[in-house]
Amino acid sequence: MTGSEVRSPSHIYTRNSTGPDTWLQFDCEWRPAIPWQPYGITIGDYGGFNFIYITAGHSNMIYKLYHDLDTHQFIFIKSWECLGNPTGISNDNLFLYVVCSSDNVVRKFDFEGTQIDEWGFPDTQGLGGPMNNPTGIAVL
Amino acid sequence: MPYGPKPGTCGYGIGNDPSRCLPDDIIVTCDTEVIGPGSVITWEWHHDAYPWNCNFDLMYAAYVENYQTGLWSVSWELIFDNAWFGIHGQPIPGKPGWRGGVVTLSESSFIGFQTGEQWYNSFPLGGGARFNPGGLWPTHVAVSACGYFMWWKYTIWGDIDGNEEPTYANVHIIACDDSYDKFGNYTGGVLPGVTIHLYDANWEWGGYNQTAVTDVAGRAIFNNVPAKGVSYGYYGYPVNGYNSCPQVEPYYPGAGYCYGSGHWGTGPLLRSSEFWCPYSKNTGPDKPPGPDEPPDPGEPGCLIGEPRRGPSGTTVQFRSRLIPTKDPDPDAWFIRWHWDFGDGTTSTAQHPTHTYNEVGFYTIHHTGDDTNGVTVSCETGAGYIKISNKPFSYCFVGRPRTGRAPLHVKFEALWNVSRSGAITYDWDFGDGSPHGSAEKLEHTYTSPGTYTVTLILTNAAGSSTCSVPAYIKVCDWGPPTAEFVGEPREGVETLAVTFTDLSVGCICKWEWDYGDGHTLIHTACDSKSDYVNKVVHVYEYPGVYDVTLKVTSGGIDGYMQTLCKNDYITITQGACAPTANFSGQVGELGPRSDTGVDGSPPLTVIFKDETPYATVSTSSIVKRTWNFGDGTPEFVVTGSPAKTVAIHTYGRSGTYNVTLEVKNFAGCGHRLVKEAFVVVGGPGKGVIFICDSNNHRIIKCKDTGEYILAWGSYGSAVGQFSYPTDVCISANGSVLITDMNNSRIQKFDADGKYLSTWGTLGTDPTKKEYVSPIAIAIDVDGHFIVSDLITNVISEISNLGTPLNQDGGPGDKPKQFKGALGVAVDSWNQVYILDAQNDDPEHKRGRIQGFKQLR
Repeated sequence: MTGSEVRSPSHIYTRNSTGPDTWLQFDCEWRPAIPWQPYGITIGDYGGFNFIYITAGHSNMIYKLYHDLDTHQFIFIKSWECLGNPTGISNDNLFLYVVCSSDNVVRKFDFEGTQIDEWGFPDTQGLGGPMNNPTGIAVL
Repeated sequence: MPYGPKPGTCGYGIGNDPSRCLPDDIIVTCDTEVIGPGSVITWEWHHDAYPWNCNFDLMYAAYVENYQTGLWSVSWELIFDNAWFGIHGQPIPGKPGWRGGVVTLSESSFIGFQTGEQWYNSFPLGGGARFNPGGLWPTHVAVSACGYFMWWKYTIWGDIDGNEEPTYANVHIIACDDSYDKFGNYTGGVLPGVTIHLYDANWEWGGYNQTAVTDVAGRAIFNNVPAKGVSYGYYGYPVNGYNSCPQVEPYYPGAGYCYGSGHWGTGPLLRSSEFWCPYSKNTGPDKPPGPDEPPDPGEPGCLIGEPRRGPSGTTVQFRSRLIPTKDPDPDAWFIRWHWDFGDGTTSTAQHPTHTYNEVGFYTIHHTGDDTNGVTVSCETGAGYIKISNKPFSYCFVGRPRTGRAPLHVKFEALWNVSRSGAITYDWDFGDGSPHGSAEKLEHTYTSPGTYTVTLILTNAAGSSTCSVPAYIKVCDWGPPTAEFVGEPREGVETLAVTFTDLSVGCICKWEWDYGDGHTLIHTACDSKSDYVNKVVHVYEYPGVYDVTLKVTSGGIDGYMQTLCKNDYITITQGACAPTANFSGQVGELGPRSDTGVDGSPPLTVIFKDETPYATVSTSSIVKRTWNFGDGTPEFVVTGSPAKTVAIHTYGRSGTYNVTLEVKNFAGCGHRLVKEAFVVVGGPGKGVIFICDSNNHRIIKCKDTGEYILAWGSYGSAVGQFSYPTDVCISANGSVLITDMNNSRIQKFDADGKYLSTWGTLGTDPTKKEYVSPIAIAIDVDGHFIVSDLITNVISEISNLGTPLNQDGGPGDKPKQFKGALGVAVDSWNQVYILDAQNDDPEHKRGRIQGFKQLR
């Protein structure tokens, strides 16, 4: 992917723009250079860093970002394709688990985007019946 | 290191970043390297703002780096004398030191004054903080103040768990003033277009009044002196003629008492502001006391004399700073003054001058009669004014004092008395090179050797010599040799061992590792401390310990040598020693285990001291020291045998050793380390929960896709769903579901058993009302963060469902959302919101926003 951009607070944020900080203090924001519709997010906490994984449903993509705490920027790392309108995403510190709402499939990736496994449609027996628009997932 | 008036622009949020200050700002940084046991570093800044001055937004920050592990504390004290003021202080969240530790500012989070209220008495404010050595400890206090005199005292205390050994760190303290950062961003002070009045109604000076409007930079100009703006909207003090304004007083050329537009004005720091670098009480300041100097009695606070030192014929300007009594007239002022200058002469002027013609040390006695009919008196300590025709007392400092040839040393003459008249300097570096003649200079020693440095100072009154033998040590090339001995090497627990350094070479740094988790770093070459060849360490618990000494020679590319003596110290258990043991459980519902616990972050573990006879009779445990193994400070419980439980939350994945040290009533102890007792994260348990939204059910399966169970159906009864959208797992394993179209959150156990419901339809999340809760995540504290698709409000909910915080709302600005579809929290407790439909007008796309949590 090219054309990602990073915005820091100095560009877009003034303290008074949304009133005084109460509980949440704005730090930074990020948008990719191409349209997306982010839906699910999970934090991969490994190697001493926090990597952020975001599903972008209609664009069938998963984005990997890094939040630089020192520079207050989201750093785009990579993205990869995930078919089936990915919505919910979770991880167990080893793998990413994504539910896809249009093809009703659970997909399992490593943290670099290599798909390890998938299950669901058309084999719905293992889930006690076919899923219909799964949106959330959590893994223990 | 005096600092004069420097109009500046530095502002809110300076934090630990002096680069945010402009070059003309007052920026003070001071470093020190060794903090002794229980000792303090005191850093003072005096704002001698007499007679009236309004200073505000004075930024102070301190941070510590290169720290030695252990506990540190910082306290500060700000004293206003005859001032009225507002003050607020806040630490800086989001910095590493803040994230990593427990920081609490006691008191002074905000203290404002009432309209027109005056504080006539000295009013000390105290604050304190305690922090973890996270590499950085920022404290930041913005000060708004108007007053006679402000005295800022910063105290940093460091020690390693009370073991009374020197503690090493570089401490930096920064101060700057005003309200703009170097980017010109307004950060807390004056806005453009604000009218500021400076007013002086003092009849002594004929009165003065001037008005100016702040420019686009927020500055008002009075008499070509830039005033730095107004503070936080405090209403002005009614003019009563008591105050004088330094605006018309040539001696103090700053702006002064000022009011108007409902704000306080301010002026630049006055020229008498002074700064003293920190010093360690352990090592002592570099300034040796002068041979003829009695102890300085200090400033009494009720008067000022300047200069306080000089030869016969010195004229001293005295200024009264007496404080009138408040009762019955709260607006009382003085109508008569009396001065006794200590040499048999007197004056009745308010601010007299007096010329001392005789050598001597003088005590000043000063009284004043206020409008309440009360005589207020004040007396300085002995020797407040020192008149001497002898040469000045002085000495010098050189850095570094030890290193390999060629050794570049920076010398500087130090003073503990005022200077006047023509002075010449004659430096003898002790190596036969030509003498130096500047107050500050550099000299390079080219040959190994030990050198005596001599400084001769001469003025009209004569000359004086300061000579320090063996002040500079220049070494040969080559690595140092590390060696040490310890005595005694064996003994019963709580054994004090004296280690003697026998290392040879040009050593500047000694790093001791005692083998029991405690270390000591000592430096000498570049610091103010001298070489210490004996250190004492107390071994508290039985064991056989390796001892390591690492020595580093001077110079940029200094040599190092490490000597480790294995099994060097043997500590045996006392006859009365307990046998420590502990257990742990995850959350309140988890099983208790003696062998270890695991779970996903954030993982809250309840530890319990299981030491036999821990809470009975003479075997009672009176001290427990918990080390949770994740770098957080040890948790120490003393004097409470019944406090057997310690609760700790692990925010990050990892495997952690847990240590419990216990001491019983008889003074015997035991230390137990359970390796890998806590495993956070890891491969997980292989269980997945899925919100099968349009089927209105929750699926539980294995991470291989193998079905386990499912629960739920369409409806609004408990256990039913209407488009469940998101799921998260609590610290104790409960499953929380955002039941979106039922406007609620439902809680189940891991097998789908219904536990509770939070929320009803409504728009006030403070009343547990939601419209369409769509996403949920758990933070490090075990609280839940919920986003509402319709209201776009982000809510924080306790693990019992109690609303804690709310923020956000609809819109396209920062911290506003259009379709907050996703939420996550990282291990730093920072919140991420997917703002899915918040299209940028130019690019048409959603965004992710990141937030820090403020509490």
